Amino acid sequence: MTEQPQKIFCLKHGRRLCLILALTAIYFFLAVSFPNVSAGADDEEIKITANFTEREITPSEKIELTLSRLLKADEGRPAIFIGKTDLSVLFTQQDRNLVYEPGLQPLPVGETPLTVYLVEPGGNWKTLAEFSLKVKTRETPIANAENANAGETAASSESAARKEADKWKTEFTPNVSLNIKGQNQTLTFPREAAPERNPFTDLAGQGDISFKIERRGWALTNQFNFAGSSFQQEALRFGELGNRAPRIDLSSYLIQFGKGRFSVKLGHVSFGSNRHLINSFSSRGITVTVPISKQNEISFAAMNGTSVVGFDNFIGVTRRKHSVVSAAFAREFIKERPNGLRVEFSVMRGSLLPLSNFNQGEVNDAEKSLGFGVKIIGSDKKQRLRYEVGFTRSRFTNPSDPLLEQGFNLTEIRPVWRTARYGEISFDFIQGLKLWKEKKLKVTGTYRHEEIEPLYRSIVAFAQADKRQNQFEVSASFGEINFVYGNLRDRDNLNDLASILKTLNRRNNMNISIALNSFFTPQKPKKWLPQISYSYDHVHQFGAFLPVDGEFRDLSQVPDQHNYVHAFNAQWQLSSKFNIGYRYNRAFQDNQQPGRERADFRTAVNAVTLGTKPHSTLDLDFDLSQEQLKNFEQPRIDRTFRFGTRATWRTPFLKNSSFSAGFSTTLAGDTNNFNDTRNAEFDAQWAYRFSFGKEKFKKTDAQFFIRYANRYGDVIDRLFLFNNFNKTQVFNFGLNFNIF
Amino acid sequence: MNNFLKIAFFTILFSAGISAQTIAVNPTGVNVNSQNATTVFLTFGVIPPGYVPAEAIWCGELIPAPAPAIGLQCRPDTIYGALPARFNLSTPSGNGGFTDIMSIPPSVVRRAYQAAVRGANAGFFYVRRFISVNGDPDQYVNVTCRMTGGGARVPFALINVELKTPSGDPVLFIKSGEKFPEIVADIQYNGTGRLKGRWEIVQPGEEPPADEDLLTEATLPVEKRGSQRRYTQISRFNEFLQPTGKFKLPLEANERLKTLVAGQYILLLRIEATDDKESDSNLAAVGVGNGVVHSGAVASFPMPTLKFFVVGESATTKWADTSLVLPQKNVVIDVNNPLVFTWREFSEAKAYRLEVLDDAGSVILSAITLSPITSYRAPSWFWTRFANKKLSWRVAALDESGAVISQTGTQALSTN
Repeated sequence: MTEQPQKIFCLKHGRRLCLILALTAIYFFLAVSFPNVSAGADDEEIKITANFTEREITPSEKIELTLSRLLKADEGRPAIFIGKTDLSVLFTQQDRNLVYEPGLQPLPVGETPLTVYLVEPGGNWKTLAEFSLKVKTRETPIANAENANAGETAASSESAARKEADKWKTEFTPNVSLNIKGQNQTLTFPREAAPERNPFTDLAGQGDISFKIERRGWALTNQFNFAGSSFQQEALRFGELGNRAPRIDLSSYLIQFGKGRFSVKLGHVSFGSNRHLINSFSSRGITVTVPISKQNEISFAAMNGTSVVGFDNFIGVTRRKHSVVSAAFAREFIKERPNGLRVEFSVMRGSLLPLSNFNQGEVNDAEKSLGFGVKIIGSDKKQRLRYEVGFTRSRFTNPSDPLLEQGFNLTEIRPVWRTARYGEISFDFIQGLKLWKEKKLKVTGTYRHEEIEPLYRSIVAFAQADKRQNQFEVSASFGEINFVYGNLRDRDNLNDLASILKTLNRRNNMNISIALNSFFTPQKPKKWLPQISYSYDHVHQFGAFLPVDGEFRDLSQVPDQHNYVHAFNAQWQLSSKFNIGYRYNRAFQDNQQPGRERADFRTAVNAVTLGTKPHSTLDLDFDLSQEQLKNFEQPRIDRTFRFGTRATWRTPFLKNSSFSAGFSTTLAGDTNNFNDTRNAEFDAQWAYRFSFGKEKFKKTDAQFFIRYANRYGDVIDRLFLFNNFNKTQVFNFGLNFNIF
Repeated sequence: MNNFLKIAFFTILFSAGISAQTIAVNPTGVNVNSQNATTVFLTFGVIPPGYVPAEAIWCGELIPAPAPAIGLQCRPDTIYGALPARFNLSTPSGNGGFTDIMSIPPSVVRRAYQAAVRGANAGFFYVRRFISVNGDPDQYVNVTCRMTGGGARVPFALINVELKTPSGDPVLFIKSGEKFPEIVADIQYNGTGRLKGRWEIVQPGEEPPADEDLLTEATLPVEKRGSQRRYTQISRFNEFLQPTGKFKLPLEANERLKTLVAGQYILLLRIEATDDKESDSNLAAVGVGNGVVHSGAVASFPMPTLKFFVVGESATTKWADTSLVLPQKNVVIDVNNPLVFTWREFSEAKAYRLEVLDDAGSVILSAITLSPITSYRAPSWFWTRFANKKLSWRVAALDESGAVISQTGTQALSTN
């Protein structure tokens, strides 16, 4: 039908004109239908291809997106999302390629959408392409080989890295704080309880200096911490030296020098991994670790016998009678799999005076020991089977101690060599079994054995000697559920001395925890459901016989005791502003030996904590607890009730200020009304922070605070007939400067 | 003939010619740990006028004290040791009473154990001598010690307490606002019972505690309990300790410690006395009181303290607290306009990660920007997809490896 008029038209005006008109019509038709194509090659639709579409890649592998053409300036810019993250700035444009080299942000493992957008100049985002990015968990040799193609790039980056390594890198970070603090009024009852200094103002300060130098992989780092006070009793070593304690003292320091596995450390160091000889012993001293090859390592330590502070005994090894020297050799038999089979041999020799660590209180002695031990740890390739065994011999004695002798001739202590040994083996019976949804089941069985001979002792590793124990344990996890059951049996008096009590121990314990809020609906946790845990522990300890010639008179002196402990915990996180916790603990001590049948106790503790944030600047928390102890023999019930609350209000009155206040009260008493105890305390503090100067080293931060505290206590005992009443009101203030 | 008969024989033999013993002790006998230290609360009484306590020694055998002294004294060749002064916390108490904390060092039981291996009686004795300033005869009072494994039936006592920090440093330096490190009290003990008490802190400007304030409550005579100075309580604990010898008590309520002002603090572990049958001391039995003193959790040393310094607010903390700029807090956002996030620069950051979260706390959008760029314009489709949700945002500062150096809190996005 259309041909006829065209033919007529063509016949009438000639074939050439007809052809021109036809081509023009086709052009306009195409121009209307495909406007982007109309601009020629530069205006063609952008097509994007990716180098990862048909394969799995590793998290650190480079990915490339290739655009079919370059974007013009007025078209906008590309934007790339991987999953929900806009990583556009990490893509570099190389000609038509958008290249991403994971470094700052590794690629997410699993299958993730990758979306390319065009961000038009007006801010409109238009989807250009979508891909599926499949990232596997581990690097494979093939992937590495593929990556290795970029030889030139690697060479240039190596050269840059070498130049970088040749540079000296130094860091120096000082920090000094000064605190002016004082008490301007204290009201106390009774008056005799008033502090000796009232009022007072003290100046205290602390500082730390850290310094680091690095070049070609070698690094030297130093860290020194100091503290001082104008008040003698606040001096770091006042407890040890009294009024001779320096007012400015060294609290700790550490100088480290090393490269790779080689290291030399001086200062506060830690050493040892032998359970019964020397195990993570921390003190002041020197340690050296020298790798002999990739598989062997020797380490050495010389340390003070206890952890100390202060400038005296700076290196830590100047007191021969109070020092520890140890060395260890370790070999990895499977170099590509650390701890696949590792053997460690340790020796230790040391001597202690009856002194304690800085943060320790103990009943101690003068001691001396020499020992050696070997430890083997290993596992199979899949880490399904794991084991550890250790054997230690130690020769221990107590040298002469004038503080214990006090002029008496004491009986001799014979130095004796004794042995301690242990073994532990674990096997994952089930690993990663999917039972429900994506939740995997893992079941592990463990057996432990330990035997420590009577009189075994090492000066820096505590162990209850004269004991043999065997324990079986089953642990399981299934998603957010964790479960442990253990059974332990032990006995003491391994030499079977008839005059010493032999005690047998049977213990069964179980623990289960489950996150109810997310177990069933992991995508959208239910806030009203808590995370809960429950534990049960039963110990039965009983004597094997009534010892003879050991001053035991009757069976009431030989224990036969059952202890049952139940503990339950629940935590609700109702929102980011509101959380609740509940804790219940119940214990029952049941003595069954003749003469002690009624000497039983039952205790129960109920505690609730509540934290809330009613406003972005206000935190409130509350504690409520009730404790009860029932003594069946007397009979008597003691109860303790505590309520505590604290509020913290940031930026009240002034910007950079904070106000906090707390109140707590404890009431205790017994049902027979023999004893009543009441304690209450209230404190309120306002602090304001300000600063001057802007540049580093010229900048000073300061903080002012004022605090009021009111404490009250009253103990009335109608059995022993006393009433201890005391009351204190204190005002404190302070101004702190943080220089640098 | 066992020791008991020997003692009885000599007591009868010599008692005819000497004055009667007036000072008694309670408990008269206790089970002790055969391999480690043991601590026991003892009450002596009635102490006659003019009498004062002298030395206290442990020995394997007793013999009658030579006249005119009264009681049984240690046989000189079986002495295991004398109570070192550092553990001597004895003090007069009540109506003519005398409280003694018998703390047996491990070397004493080691001597006793070696004697038992050689065939001697495994039991040994603690003998306290009282001397008279008026010239009256000395009096010796003894307590029997029976060797056991240190578990049930041994008085509940703390023999080693150490406050441990994660770094092992003896003194802590904490930047203001930083998370408080996890502190643990590593406790070795004898017997079994409730460990209850409080964690307290001495704040800047407060008078530090005296040694007596740091003793466990059960170490003090009953009338002095409750008179120890109290400080700001940060949490309370009440745990049952099985007769197994070791326990780790963690410091809880770390959140509360975040608001501390700069300065020097002392963390205190306060242990209260608990009811434990084996630790009881009957005052009525020695005539110095009406009842039984419960002394569970006795210890012969002051509880260790942990000194820590809160130093000025770190740049990290400061940035985390104050860096979110736009959208402004509590200012309603017009969803018809582009959404632009702006935050303050953190000098050590190499990059930033902006995160927008829904009300369940799940990230619905995130973006990486490279330092020094501190703003991000959300995609145009943002409000189309998320307009009906309760949203909040936060920013993390990242180092060159992508690790988070600091992170702001979340701030709500208020929409109309």
